[in-house]
Amino acid sequence: MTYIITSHEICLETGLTVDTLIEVVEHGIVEPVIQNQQNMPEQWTFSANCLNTLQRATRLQNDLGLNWQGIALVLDLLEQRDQLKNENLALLRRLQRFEESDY
Amino acid sequence: MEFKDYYKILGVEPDADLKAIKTAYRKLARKYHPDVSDVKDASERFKEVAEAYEVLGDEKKRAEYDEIRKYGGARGQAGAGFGGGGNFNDGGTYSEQDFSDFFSSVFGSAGRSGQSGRSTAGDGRFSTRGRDLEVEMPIFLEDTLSDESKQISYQLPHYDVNGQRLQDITKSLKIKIPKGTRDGERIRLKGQGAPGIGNGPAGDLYLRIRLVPHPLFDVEAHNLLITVPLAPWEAALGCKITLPTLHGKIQLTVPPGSQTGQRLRIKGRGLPVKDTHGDLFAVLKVVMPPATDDKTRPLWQQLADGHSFNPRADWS
Repeated sequence: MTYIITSHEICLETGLTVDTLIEVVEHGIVEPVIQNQQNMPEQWTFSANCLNTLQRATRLQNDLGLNWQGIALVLDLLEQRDQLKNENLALLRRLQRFEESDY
Repeated sequence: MEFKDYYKILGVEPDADLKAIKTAYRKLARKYHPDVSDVKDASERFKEVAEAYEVLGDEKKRAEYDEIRKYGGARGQAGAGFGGGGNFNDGGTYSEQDFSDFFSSVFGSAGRSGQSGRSTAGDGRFSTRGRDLEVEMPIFLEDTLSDESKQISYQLPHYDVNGQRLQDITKSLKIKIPKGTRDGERIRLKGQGAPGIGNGPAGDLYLRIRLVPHPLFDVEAHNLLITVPLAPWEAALGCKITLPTLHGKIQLTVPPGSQTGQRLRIKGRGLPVKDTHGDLFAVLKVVMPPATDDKTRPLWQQLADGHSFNPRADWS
């Protein structure tokens, strides 16, 4: 089981170049685990979840022709949407416990 | 093999110009893109739309397709198509993956444009890393309390030496679910995804954790909630009840004068976080007995007479 992924692995698996990865990080789409100014991009590490985010980002770029700024916005909004959906579901379940009454 | 009506898929007239086709594609791509869409079969729909656009958006391919379509679509698919070569899927886009047999028969499996092929020519053949797979993994709340081993089975695609896709095989793995795993979390299993083609390494497997709703407990971050039904007199006079928790039963004291919706906090009986635990909240819910019989009616009446309490004071 791996939780940490290096920038080399990310580039290998997403097909991004290091330059593009830097651009993506500059847009805040993913963040390296330890953000150290002296740290070279080649030494960055990411949480494994970032790979999924980056794969989604590259798919959005290729399939929908979005630029990084647009992708960052889409991913943010999607995350908010998912969060709201989950919250909604949880609240609905709790509400049902109060409303449904078999007593 | 099924004839694909690409015009119908994009919802455009057969004489539509490129601009109209592009607009239709963009609209549908936004609607059905699997990374964005909420629609159930979004992934299938998007593949269709992308395939349709791949053909209709390209003057040469469209002309070829129109030719086949003119003859009823039944004929012509025998045409060998041009291209050939490897079937390189790298997970870079959805639109590149798994076009229909119909598409391959007309245009060949290399008939796609916009390849981002990361293929490296090793021994003269294609070598490509296998695709990553994502599998949803439902687990019970109880499974997050300690490091649990669980068995999962999933469909693993595989390919022959030429990169042609064969029937999926079912693979089983034993996986350790780390303590404190949360809903929606992903666990990455390196090299357990789709096999690579040629000398390429296998892709990874991602398990997406889904917490199955529990019949008693709700999850709020690291805390658990349990709804505790109380009789009116229990709420009024206070009581001691036996409360189920994820870690066994405990005794809970409900103070006199308790109210529906009130929360009682039981420290450390929630979900594990690092070295500690979240809390359990008992949410009180006052419930009426099923029916008022002749024995209890005078008692309620006595309460009604002796009280000036107005529950709708806010309305006036």
